[in-house]
Amino acid sequence: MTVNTALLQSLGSYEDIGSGLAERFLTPLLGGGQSVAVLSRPLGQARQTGWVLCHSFGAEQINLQPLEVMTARLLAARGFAVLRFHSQGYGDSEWPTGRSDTGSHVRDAVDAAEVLLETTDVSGFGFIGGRFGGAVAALAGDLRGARAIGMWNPVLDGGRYIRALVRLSLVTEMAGRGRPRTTARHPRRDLRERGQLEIDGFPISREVFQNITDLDLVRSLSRFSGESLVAQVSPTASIRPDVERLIDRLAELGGRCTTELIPDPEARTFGRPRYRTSASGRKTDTQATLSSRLALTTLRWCLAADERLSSGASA
Amino acid sequence: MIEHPVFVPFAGAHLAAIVTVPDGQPRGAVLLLQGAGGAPHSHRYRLWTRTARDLARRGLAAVRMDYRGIGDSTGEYGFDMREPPVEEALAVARLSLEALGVGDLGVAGNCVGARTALGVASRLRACRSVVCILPQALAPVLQEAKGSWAEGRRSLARRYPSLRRALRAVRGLTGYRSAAPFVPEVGAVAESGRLLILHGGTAETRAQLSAAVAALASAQGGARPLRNASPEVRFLPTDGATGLRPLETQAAVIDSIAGWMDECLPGGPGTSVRPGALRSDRA
Repeated sequence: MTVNTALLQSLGSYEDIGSGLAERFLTPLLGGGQSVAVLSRPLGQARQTGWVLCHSFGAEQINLQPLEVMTARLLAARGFAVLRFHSQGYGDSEWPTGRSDTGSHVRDAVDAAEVLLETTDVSGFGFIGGRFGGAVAALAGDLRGARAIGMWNPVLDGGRYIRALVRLSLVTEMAGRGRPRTTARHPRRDLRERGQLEIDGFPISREVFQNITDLDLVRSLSRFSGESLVAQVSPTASIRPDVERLIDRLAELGGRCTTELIPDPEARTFGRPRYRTSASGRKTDTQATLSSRLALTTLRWCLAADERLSSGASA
Repeated sequence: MIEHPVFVPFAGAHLAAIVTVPDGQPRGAVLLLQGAGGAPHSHRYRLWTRTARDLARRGLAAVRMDYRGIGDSTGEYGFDMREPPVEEALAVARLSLEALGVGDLGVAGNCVGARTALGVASRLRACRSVVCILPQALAPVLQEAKGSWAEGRRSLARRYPSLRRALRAVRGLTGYRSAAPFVPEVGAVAESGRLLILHGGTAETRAQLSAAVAALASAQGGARPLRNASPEVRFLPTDGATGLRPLETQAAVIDSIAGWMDECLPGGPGTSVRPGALRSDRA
């Protein structure tokens, strides 16, 4: 008996006639290494703009995946080609964990956009992402001259973000054991003396920690002038001042920014683990409703942006 | 080594999986099953991706999959801790064995994936070996106490973590622990195949596990009459409340699965005598 490669390859895609979409696995080279991506596309006529979904950092890559998959399928069912992928150091990619930083995320997102252009008939593309993935979407869009960028609670200040991840990691350990493990009690000392820190199961080197800390999204945007969506999921009904600065910057660069405020009681857990065991023993997705709202908001914006782009109202 | 991403048709849905094929014809395959906490086929910390590549270096294929409604799989998410997704895992296992052209399978499962692995092993003739990874709770392999009092206690403990910790502390002080036996699948798999249990846990759960192993050995007619009659138990380097997060735990899990499967599946260092198949294929 030998490996039936033809059978395995024949299973690399499926069509869902009921939903009007098809999905296909791709194994592209991203950032110089092999990775895995999923191309979602409509069964009918495809629109001219395609989308690349950029995942977040560390454990958030997994926690936000259901939202990304839901969004990809919703957009594909309404005529858009959408590519989601594993950046190097994540999921099924070739490179080991622990080297991923802002630059590698952006580089792989740009490479993924090239894959989208090569494998579909789209004439242009936009990037979409949540949390750190939102920052990656903006930076990749700025660098590559994308038509549009969609951001869900984007990380604006890398230092604040990674310090929050460290705190959350310690809290998680304390919740489990009443105290953090010895190796995780002094994160800054670990970084200084061991050159590495462990955040929620991920090894973070001193260089990666510094690289993420240096991220200042508003100051990094220098030329993006297309359509943008800033969706703020929040427990309160007001736009945060730092998000307002991002909106101002996008406008200053000549783009058209749509702001969506989505008040939700689960807002504080956005990007955190989402599945809980109920009293009956069933696992439930505590962010299913929030994900649906965000995906639908994004779909409305994508449709409107695509209309404007198609009619030439926007660059 | 080459990796094939696939969608396996299952009950109107498509289960996403990655089949890792080593250079040359694989001598067996290992199915990797995570728990019900939403981890996709790569598992948290890429545990399965790393394990699959380690197995490939040893000449073994590996299959990591998404359950229905998780990761890249389609379908509705619906996970009941008491009804592990055995049928989904069987569908992916059977198709993978056919495509790989191999007749020997190992299954490794974490948390509810461990219970699923035992279910697959007791249904699939090709299954030679199982690894259950239980860094925290033993619930997936122990029988639940019956009755409304036990149900109510479990329900309250799930709802209130502080109550759960308090009960655990009281049990630690008094030395009281329930002597829950293994679920029947553990006995069936241990009797006819090779079973490894990796556990982190606490002093209390480690004692519980030892008691369950002793009870199983006794039920089988004496303390370990045959080499493979009882599960082999190994303890993980860090205690269980940290789950699979510590890097040393991740490394220990990967090394243990790869080493165990390398030894148990045909052609490996420990298989001069070919291990017997588990129960007959009932499908």
